[in-house]
Amino acid sequence: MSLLSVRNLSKKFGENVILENVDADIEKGEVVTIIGPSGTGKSTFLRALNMLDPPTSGEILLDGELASTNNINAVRRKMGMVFQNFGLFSHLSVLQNLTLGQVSLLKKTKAQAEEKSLELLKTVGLSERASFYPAQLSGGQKQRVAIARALAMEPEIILFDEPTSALDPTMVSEVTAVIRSLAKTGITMLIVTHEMKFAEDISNRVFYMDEGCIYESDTPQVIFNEPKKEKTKMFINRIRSFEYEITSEEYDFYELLGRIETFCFHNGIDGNIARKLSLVTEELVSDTITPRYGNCKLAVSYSEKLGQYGLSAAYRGANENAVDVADELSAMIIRKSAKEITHTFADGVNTLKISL
Amino acid sequence: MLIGETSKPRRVVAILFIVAVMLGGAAPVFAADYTDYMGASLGACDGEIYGELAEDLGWSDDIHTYSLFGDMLEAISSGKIEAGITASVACNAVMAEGEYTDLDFLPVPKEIHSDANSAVFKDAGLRDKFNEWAKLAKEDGTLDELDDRWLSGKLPPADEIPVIPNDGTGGTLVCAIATGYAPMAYMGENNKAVGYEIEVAERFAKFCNMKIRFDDMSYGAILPAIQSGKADFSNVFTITDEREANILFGDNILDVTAYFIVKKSSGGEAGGSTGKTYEDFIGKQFGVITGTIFDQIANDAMKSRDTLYFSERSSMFEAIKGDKIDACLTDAMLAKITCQKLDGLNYIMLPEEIYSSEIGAISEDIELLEQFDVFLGQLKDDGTFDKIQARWLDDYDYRNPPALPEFPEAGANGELTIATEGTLEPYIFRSGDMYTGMDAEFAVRFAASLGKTVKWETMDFTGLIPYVVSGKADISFSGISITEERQRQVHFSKPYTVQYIGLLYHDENTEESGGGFLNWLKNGVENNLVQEGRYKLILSGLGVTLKISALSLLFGTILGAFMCFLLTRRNKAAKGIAKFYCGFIHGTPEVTLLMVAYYIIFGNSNIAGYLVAVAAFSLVCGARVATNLSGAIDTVDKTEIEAARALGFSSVGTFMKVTLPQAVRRALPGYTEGFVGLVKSTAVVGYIAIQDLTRATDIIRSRTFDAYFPVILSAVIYLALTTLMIVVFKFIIKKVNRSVQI
Repeated sequence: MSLLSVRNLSKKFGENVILENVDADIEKGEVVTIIGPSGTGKSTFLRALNMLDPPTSGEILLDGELASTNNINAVRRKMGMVFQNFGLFSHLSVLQNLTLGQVSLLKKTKAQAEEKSLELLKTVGLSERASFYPAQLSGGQKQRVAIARALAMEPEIILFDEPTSALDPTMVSEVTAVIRSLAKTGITMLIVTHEMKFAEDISNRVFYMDEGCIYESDTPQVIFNEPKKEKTKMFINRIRSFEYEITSEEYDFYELLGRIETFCFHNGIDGNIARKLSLVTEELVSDTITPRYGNCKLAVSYSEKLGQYGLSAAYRGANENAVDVADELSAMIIRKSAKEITHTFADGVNTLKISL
Repeated sequence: MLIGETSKPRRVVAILFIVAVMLGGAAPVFAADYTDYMGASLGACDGEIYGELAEDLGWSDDIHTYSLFGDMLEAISSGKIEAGITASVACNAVMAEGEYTDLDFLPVPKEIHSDANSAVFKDAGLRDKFNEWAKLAKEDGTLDELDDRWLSGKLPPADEIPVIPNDGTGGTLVCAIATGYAPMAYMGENNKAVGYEIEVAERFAKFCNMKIRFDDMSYGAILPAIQSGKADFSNVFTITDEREANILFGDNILDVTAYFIVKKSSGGEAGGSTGKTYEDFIGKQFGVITGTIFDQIANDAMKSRDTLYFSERSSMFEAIKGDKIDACLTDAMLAKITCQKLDGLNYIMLPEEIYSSEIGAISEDIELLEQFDVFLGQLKDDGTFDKIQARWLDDYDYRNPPALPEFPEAGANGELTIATEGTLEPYIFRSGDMYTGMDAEFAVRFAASLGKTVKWETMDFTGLIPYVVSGKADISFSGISITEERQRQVHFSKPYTVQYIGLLYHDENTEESGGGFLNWLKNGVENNLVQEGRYKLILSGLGVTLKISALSLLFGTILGAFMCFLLTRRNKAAKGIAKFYCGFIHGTPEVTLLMVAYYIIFGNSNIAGYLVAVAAFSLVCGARVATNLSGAIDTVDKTEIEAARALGFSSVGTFMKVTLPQAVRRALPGYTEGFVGLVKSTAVVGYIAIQDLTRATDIIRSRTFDAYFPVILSAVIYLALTTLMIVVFKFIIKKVNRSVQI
């Protein structure tokens, strides 16, 4: 028997259908990550499982027990949840955040609760902060406390709703590190995330959600590298690759740089490569191609086999290699950063491929 | 004038009396005697012996000294003091000049007191010379001539004043005089000093064959001038042992008795020597008290240019003193008493033709009123009525109000509830901790005749009729004039007295000078707190304020918490009730709520006003608490609530463990503010006859007419109270709030 079973789960908001007839089975000890484009119901699905946003129809069974409004509080005790914006009780200390549920709901004594809580704090590396208040913690620390709090209830499964989305990059790793070590303990986890590398590393299974259901479900190896279904492929491509179109000189240069940076970050691209990418983009695209030709289609791609990143820039205009007509400094920088530069021209479109 | 003869001034005064009676017309003037003024406030002139004399003879211990004789006369005229004492000789001139037609002169018999007077000297030789002259002057009738000329009650015309040549060769005598004191020494025509003293000095100088020079100074400076040698002599000083120790007196040349100068008892038409009549005020700007009938008179008879309505008297009187209005109209008796209590004011009584009104009692119970009419008839028949009127109106002294008769056996038939405004001296007013006055006496006697005791209910004048009509009081005595408009609303008894109007105006002559802050503070405390134990009123009022506030806070918090609960329900009906409640209370002024509760909702019940106030303010407090708390609840982070639910807490559990602790902390500052606001709001309970702190100061103000002290005191007490509360709450908040502030 699966630990968690979902049958025909549907969620509608008025006329809007978010989820339709979703089925899933989660086995004990599994780590399942849920990925997919925004707005496809990933969080809605997760929140429907512990009935924070109750499903319009369908069944949820935990340990064979049907979850309903009658037993929901008891069911929730067995399902831990970690939220995107932490949800720590601001009027209680870190230690009290952990002991509250244990004392009130699990009926432990204060001493027992505190003992357990201090242990948990140790495992997330925050035993020094036991008497601190949430307001005194950084985002990463808060999330780690939130994870400890969920663990304190000794749940059978923990649901993570985009646990690192609200953190700035420097703090993401401390949280993913905690979750990674949790995974090793064999606890069942269901994680909605945008961190693709992290998802690939830690999951037993990946759900790609799209079209109001679990569109494709498979091992991370398959989903991330050889997705079978169309939309999955498109999604992976999109996240694997980066495209940007410039149609006028008044484009938002900073947005472009930001997007490149985010892309690199989410895909765990090495810092050096990321820097080169930004640099070449600036010198080639911003300083040379766009002023000169007024348009550019930019793409970043990654070849796993070759272990290489490449930048391709396509522009309409005279048959020219932009690097050759760039000013001395820019040309020098580009040539220095690149391993190989190739230029082709067809149907009025120049294509420059630069591998880094 | 020799000792033993009937003094001329006395005869003159007698004639004046008769004349005054004839001139006074319908107003009865009963023969006053100086003994009527024993214990009264008496004035005396600086440097004269009458102040001391009054104290020594036990006439009074309330003596006021004036440096100018004219000031003392003004003070009597405006009622600041009840009588002045001076020498018979001074009175002659006043009578002769005919200026103060509102003053009477009451002689003190020679046997009680009479003074020998003579000239004063430093040099014994000069004194002996004077005695020589005096002996001769007596024998040859010169002194008698002087008496006739100067002391007959009329001042001699210029051509009858003998010119005594000033051509002595033996040197110059310097005579110290104080002019302004006719007929002894005053400025006559051509700015020459004339008078009895002047003539005596001139004759004496001639006798010594010396020139005479007069040195004019203030009365009190004369004796020191002679002692220091600046002047050689002065004359007509009263011979006293004390003075004889320091200076030499000549032989007696003039016997002087004492006179009491008093204001004529009823309705002098003009105030003082300012000579103003009521006609001077036609077309001026008037002030009246809201709800009284005086505005009609102001507008019609006095053609008021602009009538200002005041809610209570002391601010109206202040407005007169500050020249913001030209005059005000009020009850004549009250006007008179006000001038006695406050400086800077004078009054004129309006003639009967302009206004007189009958005063009656009001009630819904016609039978009761008929019983009262019968009762009143009985009082009139056996003469008690007249005695009561005399006690309270004609002879009234605000410092010594008469005592009410007591009826210890009354009470067998219960209580008679009487509504009154309670601030109209001398009809009904607060003295100590009970109500007294003429109306009060009628009320007490009437109640006793029914075998009942009296229960007084005080309120604003405008509240009296509604109160009686709603049956909350059996009857009301409060100096209420019988008017057609009022008769349409409520039943009146037959009239029990007649009211006249007094016009009060600003008279700078009666103003006392400053005295500094400490003095003001001292007087303020004395008059407003110490006298008649008025501070007890403040304390009891404070107690009422606190009680109402505390109870309202308690019930309001409970009610508010409940309403807040309703607000958070999804059930539309529950939410709707709470929203309506909050909206209604927030949108209605507290005073209105209070009055609606008291006069309409609980109008017919006998419930204590105090409980109605608690109910009303609990509603007010509840709305504030509900809004405040629900607002605070909204500020709690939704994710925290979700996290608690996700942990497995029920919605109640989540509320208790997560929402409420945070919400309460955040609501506390607003709660403190709310409580402070509540305490201040209770200041309006006076509208429904509850005696809180504010009303207590109003009552005090209505007796002392001090516009400033009671109000400032009240403000200070409220401030102290609310500050204390804030400190206590802040302490509680600190204790409760252990978490770190972001």
